[in-house]
Amino acid sequence: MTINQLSNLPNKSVMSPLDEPSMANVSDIQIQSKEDVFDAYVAHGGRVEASHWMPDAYRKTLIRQVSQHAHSEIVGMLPEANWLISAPSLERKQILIAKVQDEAGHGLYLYSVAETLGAKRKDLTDALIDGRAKYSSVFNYPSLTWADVGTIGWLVDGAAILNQVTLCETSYGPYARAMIRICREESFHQRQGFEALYRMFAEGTDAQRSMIQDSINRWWAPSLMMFGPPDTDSNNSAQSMKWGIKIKTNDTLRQEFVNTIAKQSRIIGVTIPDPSLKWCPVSGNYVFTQPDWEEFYEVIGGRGMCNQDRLENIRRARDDNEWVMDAAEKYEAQQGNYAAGDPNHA
Amino acid sequence: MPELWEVFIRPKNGIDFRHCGSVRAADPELALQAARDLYTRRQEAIAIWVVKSKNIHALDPDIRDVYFASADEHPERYAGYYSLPEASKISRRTAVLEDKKNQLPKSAAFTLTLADSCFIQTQRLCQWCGQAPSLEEEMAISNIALDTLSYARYLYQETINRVELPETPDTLVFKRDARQYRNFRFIELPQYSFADLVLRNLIFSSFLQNMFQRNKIADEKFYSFSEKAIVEIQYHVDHAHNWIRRLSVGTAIAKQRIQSALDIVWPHTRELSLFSEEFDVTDHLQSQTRCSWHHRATDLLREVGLALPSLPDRYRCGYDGYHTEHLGRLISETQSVYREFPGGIW
Repeated sequence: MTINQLSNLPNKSVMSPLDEPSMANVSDIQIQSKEDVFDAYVAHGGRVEASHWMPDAYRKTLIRQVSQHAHSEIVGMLPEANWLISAPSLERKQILIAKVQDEAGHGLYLYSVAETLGAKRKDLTDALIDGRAKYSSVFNYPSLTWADVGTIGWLVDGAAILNQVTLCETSYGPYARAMIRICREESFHQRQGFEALYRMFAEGTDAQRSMIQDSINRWWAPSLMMFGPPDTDSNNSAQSMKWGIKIKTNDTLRQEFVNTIAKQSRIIGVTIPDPSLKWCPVSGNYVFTQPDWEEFYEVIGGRGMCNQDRLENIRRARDDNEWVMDAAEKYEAQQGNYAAGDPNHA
Repeated sequence: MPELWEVFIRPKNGIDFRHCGSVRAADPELALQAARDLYTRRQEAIAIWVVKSKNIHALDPDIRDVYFASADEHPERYAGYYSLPEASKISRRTAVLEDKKNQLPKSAAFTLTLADSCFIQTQRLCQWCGQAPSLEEEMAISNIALDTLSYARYLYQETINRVELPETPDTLVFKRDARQYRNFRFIELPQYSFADLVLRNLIFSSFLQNMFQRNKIADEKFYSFSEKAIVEIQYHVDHAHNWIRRLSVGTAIAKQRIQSALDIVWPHTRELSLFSEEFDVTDHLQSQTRCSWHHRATDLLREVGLALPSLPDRYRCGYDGYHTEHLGRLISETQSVYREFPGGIW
C-alpha cells in the first residue's frame, strides 16, 4: 500500500459502540454484554473514540502499544542525533534536523493519543526510564558511521512505515488519525535515506560504498526483527487483531518488507547479507533467512548493545532539566497569585 | 506535572479551527509556543487556540442518539486529503577551495562573520537533540536550528558572491580549519544548561535581527531575505524572553542558574558592539537600531531582576580569528565525515 492510497481508505463508521451493527439483530439473540456489543462493533469496522465505553483490556492494550510506539520515536531520535554535528553537507544536516525533529513530534502525537486513554505522559516516561516499558529493539543497536543515517532511513523507517500505514485503519480513532498524520510526514524519512544511499553508492567513492555495505550488513537483521517475533510466538497478536488494534500479522508485514527491500537493494547496488535470499515464483515472495530470535529476546530483555546508553540519555534529559520545568510551573502559580490583586492581569 | 492543553488550529482563513492533539505546558504562553512547534511546522496553520483539557466539557456518549440521530451516513464528508510530500531535490556540485580568504573585503567579512555565527549556533543547538527539558522544547530548538542553518547557507552564498570565490557554502564550512572561522566567540561556548541556551539565543537572535534590519536597508539584494528572516527571528527572541522570565522568577535555584549563565556570557557582548562599530552599522541605521538589541536585552534582564556584569574594556574578537579552545573540537567533529571521505558525494 502506498501513501497515495491512504486517501482511498474505506470510510470508517461515524457510529459509536453499543448501537447499530449488532443492535439490529438484538431481537434474535440473548441480551448481550457490553463487551460483546463492543467486539461486534469493532469487528464491523467501527471506530472507537475517547469518550466511548471500552473494555479495560482494550484500553490497557492500546496504552501499551501506543506508548511503546511513542517511546520508539523518542529513543529512535538518538542514533541519528549522533550524526547531526558531523553531517557531511549543509543540506544533509538540514534534512537530518528536520527528520529527527519529526520523530520528537511523532512521539508527542502518540503520547497525546495515550493521554486520551487516561495515561499521563510523565508516568509513561518514568516507566520507560525505569525499564518497565518497551520500545523497538532496533534502537538498541549503535549507529557507527554516517552511512547508518541513510540505512536507518531506508530500512528502519521503511519497516516502520509498513506497520504504520496499516495502523491508519486501526480501530481507535485518535490513534488512527495520529498515524495518518505520521505516515504523511514520514514518507520523506524513508525517501531521504534511500536517496542518500543511492547517491553515495552511484556517484561516490569506493570508500563510501564499503561504508554503505558495512552499514547494511549491520542493520538488516535488526530491521527484520522490528516486526516482532514470528506469528507462532507472538503473545498479544490474536486479541489485538480481533480488536482491530493490529491489522496485519508480524510475518505478513515482514514478508512485504523483504519483498520491497530486495528489489530496492538492486537499484542502489548493495547486497542484502542473506545468501539464501531468493525469489520464489510459486509463492510470489522472496524466501529469506529468519533473524536470530535469541538475540531479539536478549535485546528486548534489556541486554542489547545500547539499552543502557539510550535509557541513561533519556533519564539525564529528564533529571538535568527538572529545574527548568519546575520553574515554569512555579511561575504559572505565581502569575495566578498576582492576577488576584493586580489590575494589569485582570 | 505541567497541565494538559488541547490544541486547535485554523489551516487558513475561511476554514474552521480543528482539533489536532494536545501538549503539556505550565501556562498558556508556553502551550501556544509548544503547539506552534509541534502542530504547525509544515505551515498547517495561520492561527492556534489552546484550551485546558479540563475546561472542555463533552456530551455524554449515552445520549448521543438524541442529538445526532439524523446525522449518520455521510461518507463524502471523510474524503481523502493526503498527498505525498515532494522528495527534497538535490542539485549540488563540488568545488575546489582556494585559500585566499585571509584578506576579505569588508562587505564579505561582515556576511562571513554572521554566516559562521549562524552555523556554529546551529551546531550548538543540534547538541541539544535528545537532551532538551521536554519534547515540546525539542521541537522549538530544532525549529530555531533549522532557521539559523538556513541563514548560514544564505549568508555563505552571499559572502561567496561578494568576493567571487570558487567556493560553495559547503566548502566554506568543511574545508576551513577552526583558525579561519570568524564567528562571535560566545556562540562557540558550550551550552551546559538550558539557561545557557536561552541567554545565548536572546543575545544572538536580537543582535542578528538588528543586523538583518541594517542589511535590509543597506542592500537591496538582501531585502526579501531580510524581511522574512526578521519575522522568523522574532519567534526566537520571544522564545528566549518567555523562558528567561520564567527561569528568573520561577524558583530560587533557577534564578541562581540563569544568573551564573549570564555572568559567563554577558561580558562577551562587548564583541557585538565592537562589531557594530567596525562595520559601520550605525551609518546605515543611525544610533537607534544599533542600540536596540542591546536596550531590549538589558531591559528584559533588569526587569526580571538579573544583575548585569560589567563589560571588559578590551576584547579579542572572534571575528578577528580569536577563539576559545572549544571551537577546534567542534570544528573537528563538524568535518570528521567530510574529511574521512575525500572526494565523497553526499
